[in-house]
Amino acid sequence: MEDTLLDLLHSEIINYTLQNGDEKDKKEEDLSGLEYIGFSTGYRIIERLTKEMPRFKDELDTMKFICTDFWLAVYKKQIDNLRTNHQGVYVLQDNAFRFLSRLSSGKQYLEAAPRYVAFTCGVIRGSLANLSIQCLVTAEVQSLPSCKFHIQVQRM
Amino acid sequence: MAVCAAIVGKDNSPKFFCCVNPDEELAFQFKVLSSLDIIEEKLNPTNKSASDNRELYLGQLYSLETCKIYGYVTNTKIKFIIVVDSTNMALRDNEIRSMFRRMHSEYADMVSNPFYIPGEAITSKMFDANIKSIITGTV
Amino acid sequence: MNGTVDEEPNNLAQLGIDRRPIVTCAGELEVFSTVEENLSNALPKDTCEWRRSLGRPIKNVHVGANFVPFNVQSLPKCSQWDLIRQPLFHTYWTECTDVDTYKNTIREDIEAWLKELNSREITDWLIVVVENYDGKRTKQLIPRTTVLDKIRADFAVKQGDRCISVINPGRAESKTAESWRGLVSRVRHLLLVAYARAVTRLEEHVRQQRERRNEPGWNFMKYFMLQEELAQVLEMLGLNDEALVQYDELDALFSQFVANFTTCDNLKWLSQFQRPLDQWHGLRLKPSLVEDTPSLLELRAYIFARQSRMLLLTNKVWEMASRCLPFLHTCVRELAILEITAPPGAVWCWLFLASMEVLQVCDKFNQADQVEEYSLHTAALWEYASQKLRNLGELCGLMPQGAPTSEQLHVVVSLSAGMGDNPGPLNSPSPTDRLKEALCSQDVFIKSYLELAELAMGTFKHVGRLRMARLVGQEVATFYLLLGETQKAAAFLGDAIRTFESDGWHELAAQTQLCLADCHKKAEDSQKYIKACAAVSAAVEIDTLIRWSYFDEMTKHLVKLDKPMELAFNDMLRINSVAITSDLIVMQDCKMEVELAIESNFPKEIVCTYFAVCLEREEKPKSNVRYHSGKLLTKKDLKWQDPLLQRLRIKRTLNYKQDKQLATSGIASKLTQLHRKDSAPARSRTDLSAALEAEKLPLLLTPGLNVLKLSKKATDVGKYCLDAAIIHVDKLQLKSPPILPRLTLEVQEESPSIRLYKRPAPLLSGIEQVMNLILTIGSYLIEPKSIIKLTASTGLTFQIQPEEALTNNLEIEVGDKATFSSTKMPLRVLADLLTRDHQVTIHVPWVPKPIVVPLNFSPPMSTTWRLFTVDYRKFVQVNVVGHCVDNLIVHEPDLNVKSIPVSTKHCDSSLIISNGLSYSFLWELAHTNVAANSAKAEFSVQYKLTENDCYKSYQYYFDVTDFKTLYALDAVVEPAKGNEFCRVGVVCHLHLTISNMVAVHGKENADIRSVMYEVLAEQSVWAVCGRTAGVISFGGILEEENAVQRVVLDVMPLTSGFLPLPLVRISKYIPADTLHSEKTSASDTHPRLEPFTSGQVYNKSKGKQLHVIAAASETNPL
Repeated sequence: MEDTLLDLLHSEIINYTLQNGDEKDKKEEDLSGLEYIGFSTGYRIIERLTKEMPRFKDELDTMKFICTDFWLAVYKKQIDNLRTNHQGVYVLQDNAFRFLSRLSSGKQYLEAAPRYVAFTCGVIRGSLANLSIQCLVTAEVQSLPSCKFHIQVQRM
Repeated sequence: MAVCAAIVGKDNSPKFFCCVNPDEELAFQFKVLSSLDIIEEKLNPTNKSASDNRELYLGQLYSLETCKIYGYVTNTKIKFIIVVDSTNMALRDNEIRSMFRRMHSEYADMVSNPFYIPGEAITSKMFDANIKSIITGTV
Repeated sequence: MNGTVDEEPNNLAQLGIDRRPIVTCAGELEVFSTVEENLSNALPKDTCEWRRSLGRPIKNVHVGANFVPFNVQSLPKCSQWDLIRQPLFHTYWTECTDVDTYKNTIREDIEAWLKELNSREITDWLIVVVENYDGKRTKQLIPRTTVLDKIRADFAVKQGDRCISVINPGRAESKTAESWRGLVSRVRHLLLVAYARAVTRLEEHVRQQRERRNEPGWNFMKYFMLQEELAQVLEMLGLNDEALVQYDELDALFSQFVANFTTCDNLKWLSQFQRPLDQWHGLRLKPSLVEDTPSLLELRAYIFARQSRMLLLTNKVWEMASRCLPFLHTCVRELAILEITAPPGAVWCWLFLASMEVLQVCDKFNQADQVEEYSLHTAALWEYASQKLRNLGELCGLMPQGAPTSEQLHVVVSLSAGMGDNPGPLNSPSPTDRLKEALCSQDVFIKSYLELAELAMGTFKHVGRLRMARLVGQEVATFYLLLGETQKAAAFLGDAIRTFESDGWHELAAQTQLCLADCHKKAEDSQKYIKACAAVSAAVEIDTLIRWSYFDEMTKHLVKLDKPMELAFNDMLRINSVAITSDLIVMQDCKMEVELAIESNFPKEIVCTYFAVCLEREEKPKSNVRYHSGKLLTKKDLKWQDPLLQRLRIKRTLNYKQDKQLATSGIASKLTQLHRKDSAPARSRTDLSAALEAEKLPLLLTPGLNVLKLSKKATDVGKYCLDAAIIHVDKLQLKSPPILPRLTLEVQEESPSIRLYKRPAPLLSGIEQVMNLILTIGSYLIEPKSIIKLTASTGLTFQIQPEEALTNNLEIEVGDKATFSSTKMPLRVLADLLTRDHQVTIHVPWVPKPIVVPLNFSPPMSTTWRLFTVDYRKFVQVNVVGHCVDNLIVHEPDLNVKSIPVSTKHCDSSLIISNGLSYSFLWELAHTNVAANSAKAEFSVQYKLTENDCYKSYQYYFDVTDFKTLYALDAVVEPAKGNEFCRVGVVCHLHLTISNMVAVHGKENADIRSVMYEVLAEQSVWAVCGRTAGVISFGGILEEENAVQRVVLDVMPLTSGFLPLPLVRISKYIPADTLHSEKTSASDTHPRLEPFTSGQVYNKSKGKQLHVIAAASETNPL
């Protein structure tokens, strides 16, 4: 029951945020607001979700947490593949990303896909920000519902 | 029964401070501030014994003549500190741990509150009352 | 490794405690005595494996022995718990080599000996046969049974190792060394077996005793001794860590008892510790014995000393150091719980001595590679010691600026007495000595305290515990203040404040500011005092009354200042918002206005004698500084934004493959520079010359929010940005940090301009028009006498003065005009009718290049003409449309056609032609048979604009060509035979008559003989059946006038009603072969059609209509 609620709420958030400014530029859709909503959400919820976890040893440990427990808690599944170059770049691959799984698979709605991943990019960025990892999170969709999240850690 | 609790943010500035006895607040502030040094030591990644400890609970930070100070650091680098009077021998480690866990729960709730901006001081009266009841054991 | 261990030999021995196992010797004691010394020394040299009970790991221990003669009385009973104190290993020595002698005497002896042992179930024994040989032993070739064998056979059939022989033990020879070694190891081994059993018994006993601790009558000290015995046994065996465990258990046990003292009833024995404290000797870490009835501190000290000893022996000196402080705290607590009274200061003395003694031990281990560990563990102890010393100093009147009273001297004496004596080695005073010295002399006390405190600070800093160092610094600062060394005190307090502020602990910083203020007051440093008072008064964390008093102090001292003093805003004043209320681009000489919201944290009103915001000139924006577009900086904008929390610009990306198909989509972000905290920019020089100032001074800033307006007249052109805000309160100059992100203002100047505008209506030539010459003065004044020159192109004249004549050149004086004024000067222009494009050239003194204004004039009227024909009669209609906004008064329209007289067909009167209206004039051309086909015509009319004007002439020339009527067309449609009317769908006949109107003579117009007619009927109205076109040739009959050709065509009406007749058109038909041009091209062979001009054909049937009735057979639904 609550799964559907989140999906619907998420879609509605997208509609609401994007309708406020889409007269201008059809080509360059500005998803900043949507991402920031995700950022704020991720930042706050991570406090609750890491409450029972032991202390993270290092950055990789934190990323693994995001891929397993965190993703499980929010998206009801784990990340299917985590790759890293050990230099601060991580790629998280979700082959059945929850918010894209309601759209038909393949390339039909590829153009609309970015809207559905912007929020999640923000959630990841916000969560990591609160765990003292400053990063840039972008996403790439090649074929729905599979999605790749790119995390680039900013070493200050 | 603890006498003082504090929540210190990532930047080491106090976000929340409460004392059972408000007259002692200033003195406790000094003590809590100095305990931050020990917390930093314990969290220091070059410190070998630190990296072995995977727990959020740090245990007793250091002892003073009149009180004992315990620490707990979350993964989000928020530090909780509880000060217990030394004459109180009844309070055991387990109880302190559970106090911290409850404090963490309260804090997580506070962070989820959209009207609270993380990084600012916590001014909610309800939060104050809840924390006070946790540390005085009247929950 | 933790450095070298104490080089003292077994300190237990020093104390006279011997825990070595007791070994009895029976048999030939003289034999033994030769061996005794060697054996005693050899036994503890090597380790032996000790197998332990309860699954504990095997340890290697050294065991020595205490040899005593065998005594039946002193044999222990088997179940004694204190087996360990009893002889537990029994040896029998004999030198007998002769079997017979053995049989006779020795055997009985051994038998008796063993009987005693067996009767007590003692199984730990060993029989040693000593064989002393001088020379060669190998005389006996046949090995006979030795005494050893015999003994073995008699007594130790199953335990062969209980009998052993040793060769030449007294002499250290290489040959017999092995035999000796064998003996030693056997003894060791068997001894240890026995000993182990005894230790186990002791452990059990200790455990049992501990279980009974809650029973009434249980004596702690007795138990203590017991467990200590075990500890000493373990220590003797070399198992120091296990010995430590025993002491730790004793420690914990005692702590538990004291903790439960108030709640449990059966701990009355603790009352033995409750007697008042009469000695405070410190820890006395040297080996010592516990007293019979120690005081709490003595017991505690003893336990700690033992624990320390064990720790040092196991190379854990730093653990000892780290245990010290909690231990001292525990002691203090226990003194309180047990309500032990002590003379004032006594406990402090003890604590001080304890700390110092431990520190002294640590000092020995402070090698270069141990400095980190050393510092980490001793820092807190230094601080503690300094604290206690200070407490004592306060008690004994040794603090600076004090002098001890006689009472206090008494206290010192008694404290010194209670400390006892503990002299240290020469040249290095013991802690006791040092304390005594410090208590006696104020100088020594001060020196010692400062030494300890600063050592503590330095050590804390060394290990990175900066905050603790700062707190110690605060304490030291108060001390220095008493000493009158305000500089040092201020330095420490300042350090502390900085640390507190950087961590964001404002309340602590504020409290420390209070101290700092007092410090500066004492130092009579006015400026710093004012600074500190300001900080205190603005600190919201401090009580309001205090803030008021410091505020008053500040103002009081401000008045006394002789030269101005600069101070940063810090937290006293805060800029909440900045709004530019004038435009962002301001004209020169206009006002730049800014509204600032300032929050004052001062508790009372302050009077500002000056308030300004500096402007910094900046033509190009700097790269490392943030700029804010717009006019308003809100509180949110001014707050420092954590880069971790920033909002990113996220955009959708679409990636296409080569074939323009969408390959991937995603989101990406421009990697914005993640700003660090804006580093403090270089102190900008306060340039008050370019600053927006408050208008009404002096200004009152009330506590809380104040909104102030600042303005400045813009004088210099350029780009500016807002810098810092400056507030002067008398001689106190408060300066804010530069306002970031930066707001920019621009001052522009506007240059004057001159424009020539025409009125909305188009310019008409030939009539005087008025245009507007608008001179706009910009932001600066123009010299009134400067001249503007206007030059017109030829055919154009103008004049600015209303009464003067029009001219080609004008000079206008600018005159006295204010800035930003605009003057409209009507310029009368007149262009002649001949030219349409003119230009006016304007020379202005402020622009080198002349301004050219092109003007386009159109005539005031436009004219069209038409030719109308009726048979031979020709009419010319001239249509005039007025274009002038005002009405034109015209009269005398006249048409002049060359060589053709005309007659007027319109009434001749003055007309008023309004704008856009057309008027027609009609003339008939006199019918002449003039041969010419074309004539030039001239239409003229007189016009004027107003009644007072004189008439001007307007002409229009045109050519009338081909106007002679050549043919006349007539068409009649008749219904088919038998019908009265034409019906829809019924074929009717179109009778077409083409008459020749002009006689053609000769071969002149030979080519107009053939005419082609075409019926151009509307397809929805008429259907032409059969021919729609044809050619008629007039042949020779052209020479006659009115030669007529008739054609009949079939047409069918398609709808009913009054239908216009189908249109017939005739064109000149030129057959293909009648061309007489030499040049023949392909296209010339086609027959050609040439249309006639409208005057050449007269169509009589134009406009005729035919009534067609509906079809008879149709049922017409109407």
